[in-house]
Amino acid sequence: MTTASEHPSREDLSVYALEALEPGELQAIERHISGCLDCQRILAEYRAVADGMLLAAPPQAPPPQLRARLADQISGRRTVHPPRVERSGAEKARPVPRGFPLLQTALGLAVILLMLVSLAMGFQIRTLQRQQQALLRLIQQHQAGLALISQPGARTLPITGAQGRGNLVVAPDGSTAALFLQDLPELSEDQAFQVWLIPSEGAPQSAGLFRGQDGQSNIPVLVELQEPLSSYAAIGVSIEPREGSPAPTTEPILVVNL
Amino acid sequence: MVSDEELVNRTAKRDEEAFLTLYDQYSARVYGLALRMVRDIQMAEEITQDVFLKLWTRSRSYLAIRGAFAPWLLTITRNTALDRLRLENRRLPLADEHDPEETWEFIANEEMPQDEARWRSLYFAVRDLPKEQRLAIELAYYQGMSHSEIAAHLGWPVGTVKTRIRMGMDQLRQQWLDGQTEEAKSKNAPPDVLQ
Repeated sequence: MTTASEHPSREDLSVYALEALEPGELQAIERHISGCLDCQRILAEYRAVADGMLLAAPPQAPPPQLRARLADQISGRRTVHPPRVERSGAEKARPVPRGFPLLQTALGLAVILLMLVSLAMGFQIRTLQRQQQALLRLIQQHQAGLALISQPGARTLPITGAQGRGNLVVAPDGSTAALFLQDLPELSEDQAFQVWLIPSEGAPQSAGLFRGQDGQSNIPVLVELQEPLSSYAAIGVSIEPREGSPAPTTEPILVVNL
Repeated sequence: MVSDEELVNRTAKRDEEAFLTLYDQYSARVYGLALRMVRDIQMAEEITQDVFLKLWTRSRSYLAIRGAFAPWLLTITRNTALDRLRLENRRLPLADEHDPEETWEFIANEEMPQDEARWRSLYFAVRDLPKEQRLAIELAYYQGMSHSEIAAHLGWPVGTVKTRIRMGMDQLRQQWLDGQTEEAKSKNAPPDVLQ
C-alpha cells in the first residue's frame, strides 16, 4: 500500500499507466505523483508506451458500406440551428407563464410518447441492419465456399463424428479450406463451435468460431489457416464458450485426418 | 495537404467532406484497434461507427494544443470498445501467437514515416515479449481488466501479475526510448555536404 510520502513501486506505476489499478489504490498514488517529479517522469515514459499501443494495433480496412452509412447518418442528423436572437433585458426578466397546467401536462406526455416511439423505431432499425449484415456475411460465406469448390483440383475429405457430418474442401495448393457441415448439435446461447488446427506435435491452434444458422445446413465455414494445411495432422471442431477458448475444453465432436 | 486540426475544425462546423476525409484517413486505424480489442467483426464495425459519430458530434472537444489527433481518436475508440466489452461482460480468447490479421506484416518498410515505423516496431515488440508478460499487458490495456481481474482470470498471484506487467512495460519502454533516440539522432544529423 502506497502512502502519499513514499514512492510507489515501478510495478504500481506501470500498472497505473495501463489503467489497471484497483479504484482503492488510485488515490494514494495520484496524490504522490502530483508532487513527485521523478515519478511523473517514469509515468510519462510508461504512458508513452501505452499511447503507442493504441497506434500499434495493425490497421484494418473496415467494410466499405460503413462509410456510406456514416455519410447518410450525418446528413440525416444535421440540424439547422435557428439564428441566435439576443433577448432584451425586459424579456429576460419576464417570468415564465404558469397558466394552462393541463395543456402543459398533455404536451409533456405527448413528447414522452414521441420519444418512446422514436426509441422503439431506432431499436427496430438497428435490429434490421444487423439482420441485413448477417445475411450479407452469409452470402459472402457461400460465395467463398462456392469459389473454393469450383477450383479445378480441389480436394474433398469426408468428415464424420459423434455429432454431425460433412466435408472439408481444400484448395489445390492447400492455402485455403472450408468446412461444409450438417446435423450439428444445437448450441445454447453461450456456446459456439470452434475449429482447431491440430499439428502432429504441439497444442491445437484456433482456426475460427462459428455458430451456424438455425434451420440451415451446409453453410461453408472458412478455416483460418495460419500455415499451409499440409503442416497439420488433423482438423477438429469442438463446442466452446461463445467467445472461444485458447485451447479445446471439450472433446471434439468432429475430426478429419489430413 | 490539409492538416488534421483544420479537418477537425471544419468537421466541428458540420463540413461533411472534411469529416469523410478524416474517416478515409483514420477508419482503418479505428477499426483495426476495435477488432484487436473485441475480436468480432460486427462489433468492431459498430464501434467504428460509434466512434465516428462521436467525432461528428463532439469534434469541438478536440484541442490540438493537448496532443495529436490520432491518439485522441484512438483513445475514444479504446474507451468505446471497453464500454462494449463491459456491457457484454465478455472474456475474449487470448491473443494468438500468429494473428491472421497482422496487416503490419504487409506494410512496406521503405519510405515509412518515422512515427509509423515506431508504432510498427512497438507492435512487434509487444508480440515478441515473453508470453506471460504480453498476456498480462494485453488483458490490462486491450480488455480493460484490473490487475486483480487478470490474476483471477489467469490464476496467478496478484504480485506476479504486477511484476510481469512491470517487466514487459520496462522492455517496451526501453525499446520506445531507443526509437526516440534514433529519431532524434536522424533529425539532428548534419546535412549531407554537396559535392
